[in-house]
Amino acid sequence: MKWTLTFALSLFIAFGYAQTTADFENYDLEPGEALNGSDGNGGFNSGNIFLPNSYNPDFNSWSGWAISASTDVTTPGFMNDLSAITGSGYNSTVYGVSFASPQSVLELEGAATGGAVEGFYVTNGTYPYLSMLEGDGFAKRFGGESGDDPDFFLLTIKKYLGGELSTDSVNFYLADYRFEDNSQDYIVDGWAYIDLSPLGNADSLQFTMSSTDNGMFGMNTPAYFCIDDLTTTDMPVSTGRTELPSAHLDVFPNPAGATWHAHWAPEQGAEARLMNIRGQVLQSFRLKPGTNAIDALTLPAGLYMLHVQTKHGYLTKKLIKTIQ
Amino acid sequence: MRIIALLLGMLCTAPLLAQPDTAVLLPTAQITAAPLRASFTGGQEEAWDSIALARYAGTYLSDLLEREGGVFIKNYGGGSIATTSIRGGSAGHTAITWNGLPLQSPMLGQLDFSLLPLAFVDEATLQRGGGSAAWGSGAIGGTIGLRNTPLSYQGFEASAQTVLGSFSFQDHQASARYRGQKWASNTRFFQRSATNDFHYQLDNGDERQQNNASFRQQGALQEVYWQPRPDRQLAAFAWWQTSDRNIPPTTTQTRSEALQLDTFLRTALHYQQQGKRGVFNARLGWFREAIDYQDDAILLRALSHFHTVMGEVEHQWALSANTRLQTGLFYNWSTAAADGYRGERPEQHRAAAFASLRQEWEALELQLSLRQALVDAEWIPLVPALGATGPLLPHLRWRAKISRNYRIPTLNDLYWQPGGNTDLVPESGWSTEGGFTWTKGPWTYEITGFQRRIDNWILWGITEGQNFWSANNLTEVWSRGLEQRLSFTYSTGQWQWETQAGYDYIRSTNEKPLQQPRMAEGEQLPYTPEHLAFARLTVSKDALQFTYQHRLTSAVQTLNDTELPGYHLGFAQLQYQLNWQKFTLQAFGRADNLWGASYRIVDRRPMPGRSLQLGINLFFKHKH
Repeated sequence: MKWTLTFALSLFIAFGYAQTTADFENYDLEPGEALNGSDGNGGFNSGNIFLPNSYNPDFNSWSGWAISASTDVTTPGFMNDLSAITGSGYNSTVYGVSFASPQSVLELEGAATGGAVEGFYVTNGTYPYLSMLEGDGFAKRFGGESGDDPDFFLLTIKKYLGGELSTDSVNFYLADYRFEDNSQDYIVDGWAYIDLSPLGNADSLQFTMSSTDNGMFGMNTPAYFCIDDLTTTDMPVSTGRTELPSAHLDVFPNPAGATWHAHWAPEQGAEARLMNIRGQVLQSFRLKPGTNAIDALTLPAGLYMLHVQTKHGYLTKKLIKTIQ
Repeated sequence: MRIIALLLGMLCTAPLLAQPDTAVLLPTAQITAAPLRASFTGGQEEAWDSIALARYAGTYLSDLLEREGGVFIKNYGGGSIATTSIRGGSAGHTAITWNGLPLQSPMLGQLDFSLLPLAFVDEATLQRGGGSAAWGSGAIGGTIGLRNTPLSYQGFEASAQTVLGSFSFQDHQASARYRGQKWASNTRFFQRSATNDFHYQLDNGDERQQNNASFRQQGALQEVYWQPRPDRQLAAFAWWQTSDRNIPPTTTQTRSEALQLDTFLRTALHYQQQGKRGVFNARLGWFREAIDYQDDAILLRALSHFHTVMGEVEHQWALSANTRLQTGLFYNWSTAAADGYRGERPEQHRAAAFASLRQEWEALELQLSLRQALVDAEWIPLVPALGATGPLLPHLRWRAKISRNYRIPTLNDLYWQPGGNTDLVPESGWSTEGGFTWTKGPWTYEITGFQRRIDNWILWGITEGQNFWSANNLTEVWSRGLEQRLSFTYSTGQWQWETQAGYDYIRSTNEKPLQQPRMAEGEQLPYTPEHLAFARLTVSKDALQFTYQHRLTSAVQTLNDTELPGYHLGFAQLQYQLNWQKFTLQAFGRADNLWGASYRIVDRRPMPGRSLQLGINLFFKHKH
């Protein structure tokens, strides 16, 4: 078994699998435009990834992910939360923005599900960049009053595989003021590449932000970062990684307020996991042939993922819980 | 007429100047708060008359409260927003009344004390502890009463004052007061400005100069009193004020372009009638207040305003020489507009019935008050208060009080989007206090212990499954402490000595562990010092008066995972007074933060070092 795995891995390294890059250019935005989820679709697709978005039309507020071609690199403050400090994508127009408060999650889809993520480009948003550089009414200027405070702004990436969160992580400093020599202190202002190969195979990625400026109400530094050109690896065709026809699973009503009814068409049962957009498994259960009730009553309103696994393949369905 | 004055005068044991009661001052009747409410048996209170307030010419109510009231003022720096914490309560736990009508903003539930010039106040009282049975919502930590009065004699008085000081400080005031047979009028103006470009010390010892910190305030207050008959009076008040202040950068912010404009108009009518057995008061108020916050750097402009209309009728009877009863009805309607209300115009209706009975047996005095309020068709639990006082030994009196108190959610707590929560219930809980007063000759010593639990404390935080802040009844806060006051007044020949010292120990702890905001069980609330102490010495001889004040504030926890160290501050003032015929000239010099302490009240908000002021005050007084 171990040998087989090693053999498969060496094949992977020797020949390489097809890779897909999510560059968000499929949204075809003009410079200055941005999508914050106000279309209510619950997220964005590019390449083989899905970027969940939670949008509140009442407050015009979003969390999770947005797609942007904003070019504003000068306006500080939360009104400019959709801009990267580079003013463009990595050698392109469009890029992704994440509001990771406290976390954000990115799902691998299709052939990339369960595969390795090569890496991606990252930079600061204009809002956190200028906040760290100059301070604002809530957050401190990095370095503090004297310029000597050993501040940092850290992006931590973990993966979910099979519903489990990895203990390993990849860390990247979006700002680092811990140097003895203050002239070495920096805030990332260009696109930097993060190699995610140490994480190995994944179903989804979890992004967490932390900084040295915290208080009773959590982190003061604005919890945004921007990504571009995220490269996933297409898994070889294997039974477990085959996406089953979507007709196998019908969920109704969807959106639902109290209960989703999941109709499972195949004659064999399947293992199912209900996850929130952060990738946390909320319920694990066996999906029986026929109609199954999934309790939604106690869940907060928002987007959920139902992941179904059989020995023939897998299927993922987006579920929406509405306010009762 | 005279009989009523005599009867009510007999009931008042306190000296005339310190007594805010109505009828004692007849026949020169004046508008006052109702006595049974203004002075609750068994409670602890302080009062400042116009003479005491004159010592603070050109300053603000917050200066008086922190220097002599032992009140913690959370001040963001010269001219910036200032709020109170009394007995470990939040800013919304201080009720404030102006001629008997509540001044707290219905949107925020609190008042910005940096907008309250003492020049517009003739008498101020501070009642510590719960006062909801008398004053309703928000009277939890304490109640501050502000009053305007007509001249106490028939005649004319005019004054003009100028104070100039460090950081381009200027304060100009003028007033004209007249009282005739049936009419009286007070007209007052003030204007105050400063650049506030003070130098302050950074945590590594370097100095920096504050910028974008200038402010300018101006206001006018007109009062008209009409006494068609000696036993009745109608008074009209109009108070207009504007404030334009820049919001300075924090110590960890490169620049700030923020500014805030505050504008308000407060108008009120007050009718008072003395009957054979009591006093009837009717009050009507209409306030409109607006805030315009702008920050061009972040393309933000936030406009908000509210209207509030309130009416109150109350009657106080002297049922017998030893029994007084007061009953009343209160109604208040408020509405507000702000971007956060998403085009809605939320309204709040508040109605209340209240009653209070005071009974004396020999030297023992007992008072029971009840208030039942209805807010937006929801009944607030009945709030009672029971207090008693009596002699224990010669020179020693005891006092005790128990009360239930509450604070209703503000319009922002209820309706701000996102996060406003219409399911909020009022914060409420019981307070108890007890103490002794020892008086002998020129000495007075007071000690008061208190404890209070407030449940359903409203905080903004992130709850499970939400990605935005929302208001929730999150926790319970237990406040307790010990307050001591010692005062001494003495005259030797031409010298007059007056000293007062106070020390408050206050624990105010969160009683439920919270994640967002992160607060441990048993943790002292942020910006709530455990120790507050002050001492004041005033020495007068002939035309000279010298005052020195010193106060100490212990360390506080901030909202930023940091602790601010404690500090002590000195204040000195020398005043000279010259009388010539009908004119009086006062000249004074004062130094604030005399010892040049480098301190912060709010994290990342620097405070000025030593500042000097010189002032001149010219009075003209003519009695008919």
